[in-house]
Amino acid sequence: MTELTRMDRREFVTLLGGGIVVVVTVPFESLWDALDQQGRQRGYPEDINAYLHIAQDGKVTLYSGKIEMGQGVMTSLSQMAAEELGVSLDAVHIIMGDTAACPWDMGTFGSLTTRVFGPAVRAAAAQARLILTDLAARRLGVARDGLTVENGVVYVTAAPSRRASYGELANGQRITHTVDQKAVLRAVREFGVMGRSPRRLDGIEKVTGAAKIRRRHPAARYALRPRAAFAGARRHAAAHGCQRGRGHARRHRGQ
Amino acid sequence: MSEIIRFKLNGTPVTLDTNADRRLLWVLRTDLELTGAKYGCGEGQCGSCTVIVDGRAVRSCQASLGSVQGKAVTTIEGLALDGKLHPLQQAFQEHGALQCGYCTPGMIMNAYGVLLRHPNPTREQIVQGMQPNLCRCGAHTRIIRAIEVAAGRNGGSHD
Repeated sequence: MTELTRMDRREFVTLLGGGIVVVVTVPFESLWDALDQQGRQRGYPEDINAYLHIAQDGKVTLYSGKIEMGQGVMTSLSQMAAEELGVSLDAVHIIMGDTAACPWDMGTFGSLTTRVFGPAVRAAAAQARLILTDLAARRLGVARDGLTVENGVVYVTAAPSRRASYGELANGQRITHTVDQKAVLRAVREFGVMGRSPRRLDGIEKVTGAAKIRRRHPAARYALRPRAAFAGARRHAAAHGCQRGRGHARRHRGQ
Repeated sequence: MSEIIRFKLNGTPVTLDTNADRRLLWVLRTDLELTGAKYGCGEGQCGSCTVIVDGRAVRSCQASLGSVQGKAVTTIEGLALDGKLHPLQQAFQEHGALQCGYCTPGMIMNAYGVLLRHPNPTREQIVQGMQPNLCRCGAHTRIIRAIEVAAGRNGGSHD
């Protein structure tokens, strides 16, 4: 079963190049578990509070060591969390790449975000949903299977007016309650948020010029690397004000 | 060295007292804190620094501050009107015409310039008009689509 996940890209491409059709008979859920395992081995934490915070007003914050660089994971990771947690995409706010707040990550590269961090996010969000459902069950005095989760609200299926919101249940605190069961991830046919292409969450800032590509430290100065204008050009100390000399490489200073 | 430079910036008069030889890009980003225009190559080849000066697309990494004396400069920050996105911005967002977003302000400003020249452009006119702008992420097809859509909405103006 694990052959496919253990195979590296070179082997896989070689197989394809040879005209061999690789048939995957492993159930998708098991493949996902294998990827989740990889994540754990790489050091992704088990504690759901490392990934998620639910405020009193129900706003969900997702913490991601992975960052957005145009590949779209700001949006897709939010979709994954929203899907498993049972909230709308609008309810999720993602914080990325903050080393003080976000779980350890080896860095964003290698097309690994969706494959390896994704399972960790989904597992944490699904577990959070299970725990919050359990808390609601205790509060409402019903069994867990008598409850439905929709848009961050847990209600008694047979009596929807009896309900508790995620905000009320989590109350902005760390979720310390545990359930002795591993949450089951949503199946593809159940997807309401995943499986769609919403507009990118970083889109508006990028089309208005408001997006900050990198954080600016107040003491930061800027430097530009001098580049040879052509092969064989000599470096020449440019006068203040970026005077261009013919036949000389320019040294620029951002001013 | 230092000169008084007066120009209109996104509809508002601005007066600066500084070296007129400084590149417009750095004046915008550093003095005026308008960081929408980006430094990509510093050679006028990538288009990420593009702004509009008196209705024409200009590479601000090449233009001197002195060259905009008495002129009207529009940057990406000046495109939205009263909080409402310009049709180009709206179309870029709707059609996902971006990935990392670094080329995006320059793309939109250059497209704005194209639409000023050709309010109802053919696809070829759009492609030719956008030649000065590079996108390393590869969002080109969606960028062209977004510009076509924006042009279809009132020739890409706010009305």
